[in-house]
Amino acid sequence: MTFRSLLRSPYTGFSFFTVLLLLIPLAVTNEYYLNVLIIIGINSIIVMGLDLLMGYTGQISLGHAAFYGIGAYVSGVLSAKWGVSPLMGLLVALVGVSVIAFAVGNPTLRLHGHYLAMATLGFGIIVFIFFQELIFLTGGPSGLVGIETMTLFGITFDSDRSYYYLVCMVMLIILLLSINLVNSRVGRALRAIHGSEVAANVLGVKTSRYKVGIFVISALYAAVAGWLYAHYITFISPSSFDFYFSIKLVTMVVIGSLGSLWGAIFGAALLTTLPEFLTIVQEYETVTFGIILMSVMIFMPRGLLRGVEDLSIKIFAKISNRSEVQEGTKQ
Amino acid sequence: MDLGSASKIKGLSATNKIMELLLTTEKLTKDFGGVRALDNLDLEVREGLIQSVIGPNGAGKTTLFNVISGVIPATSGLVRFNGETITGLPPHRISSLGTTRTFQNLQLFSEMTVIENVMVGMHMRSAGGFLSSSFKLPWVVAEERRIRDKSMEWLEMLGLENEAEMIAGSLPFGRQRILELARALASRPRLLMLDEPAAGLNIRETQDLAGLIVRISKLDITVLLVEHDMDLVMEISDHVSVMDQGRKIAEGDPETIRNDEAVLKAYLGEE
Repeated sequence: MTFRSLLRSPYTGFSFFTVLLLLIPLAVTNEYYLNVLIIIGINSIIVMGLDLLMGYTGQISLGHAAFYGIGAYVSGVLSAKWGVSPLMGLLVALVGVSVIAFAVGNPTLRLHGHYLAMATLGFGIIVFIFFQELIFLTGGPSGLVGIETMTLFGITFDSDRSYYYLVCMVMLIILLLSINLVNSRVGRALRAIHGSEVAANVLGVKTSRYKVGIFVISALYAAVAGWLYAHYITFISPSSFDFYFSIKLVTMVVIGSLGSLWGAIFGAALLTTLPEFLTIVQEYETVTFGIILMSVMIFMPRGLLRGVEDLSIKIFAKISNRSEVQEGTKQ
Repeated sequence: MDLGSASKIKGLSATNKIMELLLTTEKLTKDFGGVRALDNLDLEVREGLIQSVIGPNGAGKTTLFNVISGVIPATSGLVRFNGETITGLPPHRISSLGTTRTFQNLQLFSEMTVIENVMVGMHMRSAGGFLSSSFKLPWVVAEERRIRDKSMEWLEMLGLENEAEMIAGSLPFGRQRILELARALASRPRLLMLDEPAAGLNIRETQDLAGLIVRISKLDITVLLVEHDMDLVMEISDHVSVMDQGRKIAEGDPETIRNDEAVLKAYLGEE
């Protein structure tokens, strides 16, 4: 293994990132900040899944909050109403989401463009209505209380610090699996579908299988995030899983950079914390938020991570050009 | 059996083969609403040869390819490959039986690198799935290595090895055409269908293409070509079929076709 190959390898960045995350609680002890970091971690998981679907495979989902919500409500209801352990709750949620995502994905992913977007939008709203109306189960708009705190294999995660480590661990595992997936035959097949679905088909890629497959995987990621959320806050209500959150998720992927896992995490981090910073401008928070989003899309349409990457390549090229010219005149 | 002038370039290896029917269409018909794009077309493609389909614009050549490869469904009639009926099968199933095609308007994966494009060509010759890839099982790692090495070999064969890590969309057009060819070859097809591969190429590039197609044919790959470039067709084809308005109006070796009445008439209507 050469030094160069080490630099190029995605696992190098992953290792540094892991170390960074493990060290953060040593510097950050404030409960509030840890809370924000936990939420960033939870959002990152959903956004990574959404990026696999949208950025890599070129599909769209305007209803992903639904899977987030199903993950939260399945485990939450089982826990609050029947005392089911969080681990069992997760298993049931994952099975349930797989079935639903498979059932919804199959007909929907035959659609393209606007039609696909509308279908996923509709799905998200339908699920939201279920959360609101199945009051006997979900508690309706008032929400669901009494969700058990996270206990896994005898360990109870009842402090912000311990929950931070739990979320980090889950997120890092998912990130690692995702890195492996995108750098594989499957990852290439997904990107091929994005590049040219007809050519992918003709080269033997069963596009329907891969599209539904990645849709289910992205739904599972969202469900895991929902599970983490439910057992952290121990109270959930439909308003966390509405259309606006679905849009917010899409915004995180796009702003971060479509087709980049690091971009997904970055986008989640940025858009989760931005509202916190914007409290400075008080009443102008929403307007400022909108202006920032618009500016990013105008000046860096490929997203922030790619935009910064492109910019640094340009600057680097200019510097090396100028130094070449200087060398030329010297001689 | 007279193979025409092409055999001079290719050598006589093709004449010694028993030429089996690899692909046939029987009364193949395709209607787009009121327009009949393919009209009871009977086509025979023999193994080991370079066969061309020519005809004026709108003759139905690309529609023929689209129906054979399963991209669009036939209205009626049959397509048989290697004895098996393939009409109605989805494109990926047809390809898994041993055919592949290129596209007139180039369907590269523009955002992927050159070598990655070719690696997708090897999709059917590999098996890594969602779970095995996510968990990076040892056999998948070994398979990835094999895919990469083989893809590099194809790039070297077609002179693209120096551009391996470049983004496909950044290549000049002529090189992109060659890349699409490399990608198709990586799937090791028995039948390679090329849809106007010379479109957009200059004279020198077209000459290189001709040589390339002959080399491909020597790899025991049957080539079915749709083309507008008469020089290319006449130079390398063993057999030519001529279409006009969805029907086959003539066929034979290049010399016969060149002088055929019906063919000249069909072409006189256009420039």
